[in-house]
Amino acid sequence: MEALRHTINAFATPTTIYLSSVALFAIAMWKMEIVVKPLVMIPVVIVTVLGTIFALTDDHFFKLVTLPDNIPITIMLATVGYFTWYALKKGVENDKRLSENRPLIEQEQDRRVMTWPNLVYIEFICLIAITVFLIFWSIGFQAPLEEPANPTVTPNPAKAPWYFLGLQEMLVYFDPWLAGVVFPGLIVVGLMALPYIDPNPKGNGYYSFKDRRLVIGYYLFGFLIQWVLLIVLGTFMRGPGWSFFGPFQEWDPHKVEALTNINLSELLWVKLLNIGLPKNILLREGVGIVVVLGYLVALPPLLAKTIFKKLYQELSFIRFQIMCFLFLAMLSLPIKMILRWTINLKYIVAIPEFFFNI
Amino acid sequence: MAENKKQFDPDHLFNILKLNKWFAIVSILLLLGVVGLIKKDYDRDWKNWQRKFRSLEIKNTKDEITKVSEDLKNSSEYQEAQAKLDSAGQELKKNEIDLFKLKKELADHENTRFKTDRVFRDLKSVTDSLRYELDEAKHHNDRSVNRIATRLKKKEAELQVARAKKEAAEAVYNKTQSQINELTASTKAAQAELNKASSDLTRLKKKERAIGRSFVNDVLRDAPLLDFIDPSLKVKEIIVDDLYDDYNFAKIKRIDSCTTCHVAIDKVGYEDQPNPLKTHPKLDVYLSSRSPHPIQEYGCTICHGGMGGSLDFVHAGHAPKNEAQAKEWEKKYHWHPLKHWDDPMLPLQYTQANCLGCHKKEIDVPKGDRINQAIFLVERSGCVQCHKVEGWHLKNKPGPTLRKISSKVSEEWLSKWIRNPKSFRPTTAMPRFFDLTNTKDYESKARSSVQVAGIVSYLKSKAQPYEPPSVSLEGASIEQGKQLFGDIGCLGCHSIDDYPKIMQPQFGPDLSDVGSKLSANWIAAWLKNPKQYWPDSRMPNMRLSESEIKHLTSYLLSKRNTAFEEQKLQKADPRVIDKTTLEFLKARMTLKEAQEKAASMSKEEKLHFIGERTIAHYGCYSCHDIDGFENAKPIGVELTLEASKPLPRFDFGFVDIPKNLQSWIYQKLMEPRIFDTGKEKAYLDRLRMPQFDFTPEQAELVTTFVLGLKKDDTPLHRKPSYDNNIDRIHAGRALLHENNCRGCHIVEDMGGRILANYESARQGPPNLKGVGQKLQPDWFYQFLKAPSVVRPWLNVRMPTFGFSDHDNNALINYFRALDRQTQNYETIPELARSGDHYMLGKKTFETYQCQNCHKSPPYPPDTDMENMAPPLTLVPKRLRYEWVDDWLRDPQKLMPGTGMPGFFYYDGKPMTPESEDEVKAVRDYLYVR
Repeated sequence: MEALRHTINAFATPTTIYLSSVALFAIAMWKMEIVVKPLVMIPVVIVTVLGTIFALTDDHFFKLVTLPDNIPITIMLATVGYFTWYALKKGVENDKRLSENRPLIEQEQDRRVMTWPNLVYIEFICLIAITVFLIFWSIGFQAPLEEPANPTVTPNPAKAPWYFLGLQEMLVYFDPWLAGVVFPGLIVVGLMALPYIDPNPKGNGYYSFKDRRLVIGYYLFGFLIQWVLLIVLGTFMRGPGWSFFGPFQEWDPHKVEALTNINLSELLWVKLLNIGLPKNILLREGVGIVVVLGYLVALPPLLAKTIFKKLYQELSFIRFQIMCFLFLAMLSLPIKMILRWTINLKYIVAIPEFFFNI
Repeated sequence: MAENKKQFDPDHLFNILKLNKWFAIVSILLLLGVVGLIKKDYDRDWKNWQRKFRSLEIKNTKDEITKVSEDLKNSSEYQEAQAKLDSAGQELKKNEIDLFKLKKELADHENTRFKTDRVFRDLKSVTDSLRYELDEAKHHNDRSVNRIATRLKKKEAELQVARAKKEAAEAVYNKTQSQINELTASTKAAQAELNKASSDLTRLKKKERAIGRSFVNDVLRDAPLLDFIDPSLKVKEIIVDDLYDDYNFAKIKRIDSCTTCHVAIDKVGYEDQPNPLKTHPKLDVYLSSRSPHPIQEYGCTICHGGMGGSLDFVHAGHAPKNEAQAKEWEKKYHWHPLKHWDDPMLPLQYTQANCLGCHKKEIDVPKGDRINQAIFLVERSGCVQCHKVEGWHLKNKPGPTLRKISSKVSEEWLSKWIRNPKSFRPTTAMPRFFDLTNTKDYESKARSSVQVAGIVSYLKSKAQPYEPPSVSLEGASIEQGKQLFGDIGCLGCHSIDDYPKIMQPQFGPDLSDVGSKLSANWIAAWLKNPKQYWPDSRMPNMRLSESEIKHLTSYLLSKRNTAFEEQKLQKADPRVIDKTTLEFLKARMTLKEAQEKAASMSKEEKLHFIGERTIAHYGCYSCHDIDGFENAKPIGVELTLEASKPLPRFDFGFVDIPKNLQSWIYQKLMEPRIFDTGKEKAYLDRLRMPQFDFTPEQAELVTTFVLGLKKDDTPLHRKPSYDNNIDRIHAGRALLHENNCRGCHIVEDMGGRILANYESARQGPPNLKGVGQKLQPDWFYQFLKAPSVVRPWLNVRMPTFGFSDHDNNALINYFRALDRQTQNYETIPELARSGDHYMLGKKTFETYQCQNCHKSPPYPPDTDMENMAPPLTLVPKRLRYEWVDDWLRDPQKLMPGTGMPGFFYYDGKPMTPESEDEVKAVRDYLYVR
């Protein structure tokens, strides 16, 4: 048991968790027909439940999960998993029906009935059930109040509300103006823009997967990997000093981590060329600026010509540009993560003189 | 497919019957939930405690009622009143018919009175309103003026008539009433007497009715939904007006709800109950309205800490006093340490830490026995010398000067002493710096040897020359030395193995092995005058004669510690010397410079350098006066606000103790280097606090002190008033501490530890109670400067402390402030040496044979010194005129236990009518005799 815990702790680094999640996500996207089968899902659920039970035997993990703050997150994990699976399963089912030329699930059930009692009665029962749930919850758990806020003492770790922990995780890799201002703005704007970007009529009013694999994947990557996974990391694995801890590791505020990150300009001018940083800021950060501009401006046309050729034709120029910009902005996080893990890159463009770092 | 198998109802998507069942299920669950909510609220801990307390109180009240009724039965007062009432009742019966008639009449008259009164009042209000209308109409020149004026006149006339009628009715009513009163007067008086005699019983019965068992009390008042009207179970709050909880953005009046569960905390009679229904154990100091800290003005958390607003055992911040109690609480109350509250309760043994919140910088906190002991320990151990604590710096360094050390002890003795002081003298205050938990390994030991050698080399090279004159010990007797040691008062400060230890820890060093340390010459010179070797020494001059010095010196020399003498000195390894030098150098210069510098140094230079750096590293200069470190800063962490420091700033290392402040401090005191355990640290980076070898009890005391060092937000007027008197008292107490006056004398009912060595208190130093009102300041001043003999029968002697004028005045002011004496200069009236008054004094003086005990020197050899009293020749210069007659009237009152009999007064009253005159006459006689 102890050995297993150690192994899991050793395995649990941001790199491994993130990359393995991305890998699992890719496999699921690729072989969705197999993944949603109960034959696959039931063992996954069993393993998850057993794993959770095993994890709960650990004192630290048990305290962490049963913290009144963290209970909603645990509930969220289960519900997100269930509903994602449910939608995808229906989508796969419909895909199968389409290929066999059978009517869709939704078409089969298309009967018109009265709102009362068919809708309202059930809603009413659910309402009572949720009330009951909340009552028992409030009997069982006290409100997780902490000490009076003190402007001179920062709690350690200082954590955002749980639903913003994904954003906070981004702060590890990006400057606050990006992670705290630009990206959240893009997320909101992007979500609002989605219906207008996507002109594909397929999947309208019914579950589907195959016809919309790219769009669903695009969305689910943003939601599951970039949002939910980062919340989980932020809640359960980021401890005092924002240090990363394995699930069974005591949160030690005195943990020391080596900080050896360097900027792209230092990497280029000092490490590779060995001539020292130029005085001129533009010259110094030139490469970084070119890389960023290239990523945002030059890449979309290139994509339109190559792997997104078909998409480009479907979407037309402006839609494609917007889609591409949002897509690349989203991808910048994993890219930055990978650069951080591989070459300890701190900033691609680092102009601390103007508080401008990317 | 599954859907096809089902029979569809064309109108419904779902089976309504099934939904009905679900509806029923969730509704029942909802009901259960609501019941659960009510139960949870009903079943709260504090409600249960209050219920329990109510039964207790009911039982107590009932017991008291039976007791009081029992007492009443036997009380003559009550019996008499009862008898009176009975006879008065009999009397009344005779006039029963008259009374009945009168009462009936009275009812009629009452009726008339009411009616006439009503008419009068109505008319009065009508006239008042008419008057207002008239004024208004006149002001506006209204046409109605005349009409209103006529009406008003008419009504006023009516009012006069009504008034006459009303007053007539009242007169008739009052007459009848007085007739009735006359008849019942004796009964009423008897009833009042009876009520007075049984007032306790009435009060108790009323209380029983209020809290006793009844449908209303038991069911209605606390029923859910009805309990907002007048519940018997109530949250009790003490809101203290000027104490605030600091919530950082807002200051909120402090609310203590502790008494919600601790219901009986300020009520006498529940001392034996278990907590929380127990009475506070020190009601004379706390909570009661007569104590200095009444509960309504102070609340609870100001002393105990904790979250006053909480109604829950855990959230109130209760803190267990030890592991066993923590375990017990975990079982009983699901206790766990409170995470999110900066100010948890202090465990019982540390509560007095919070005395320091208000009694700041106060020496001898009244009734604060633990905190006072803690302050003594802190001063003796020199804690505040290395750790800055605002307001607590000691004037004198607690260790001796090292400026002339070469002449005092040998190099070998010094090395061994520095290495491990307790191996020579287990009770020493000097802590151990070497061979502790983080320096136990072989390498560290080698370094320690080098560092000790370095310190010795540094001290030796800096030492000033001092040569005590040589003495011969011819004719000296160890026995007589021993006798002297016990008699003259050395034991007030020092201990020695021939005498029982009277004080733990001592003020001065234990001298049981001093012969292994000092030379005869040095001891003799020191005894003669300690200040010539060390001007700041607190050792006073005992005014010893040459022969006394010889006896004492030979006695002290005979006290040896052979085990220590045989201890082997650890040699300094040259390679380690080089290494240590380099390490110290590296801390201040570049590697290359350090290596060059080290290469250029000789071995002696290196040792000297190591010594200097080691003294700086360990801060030896904080406690000792060392040449070259006059301006060095203390090395310890500042502790002024230590108890307000957030817990994560304390490094618990890998030590498995509860994660709270008190455990950390306690652990640190018991084993100062323990938090290095399991860590890889360079030698110079390791913890440096030395080992004081505190006992667990002492460590708890020092912890108490440290826990009291916190942010102070008590309003100024809460603190003990800092008037001129209090300032004088504090200044004096500081001097008492500094000079250990309490080692010999009882002052403010504390101290006098040396008295344990004498058969009777008369043989020891006098109790200093009341000397402020007793002594003339001039004489007091002279005495402190150069003590003279007052009590010729004493062997113990008042030493010459060599006080400065400042200290002398401070001491005199202190004693006078204690007795509220403010006049420094007083007149003694001109007294005649003849006349009746003088003769009465003389006669009385002779009658009571004052001279028998108050003999004056010279004393013949056969004098019975046992029963001697201070010579009366001292009176005119020594005693205050006013004090003498007080003393003559009642010596026991001024000094309980004195041998002086009271001749004139008994129990506060003169024995004969002439007594007062006699007192005055004797007093005056004493001044002119």
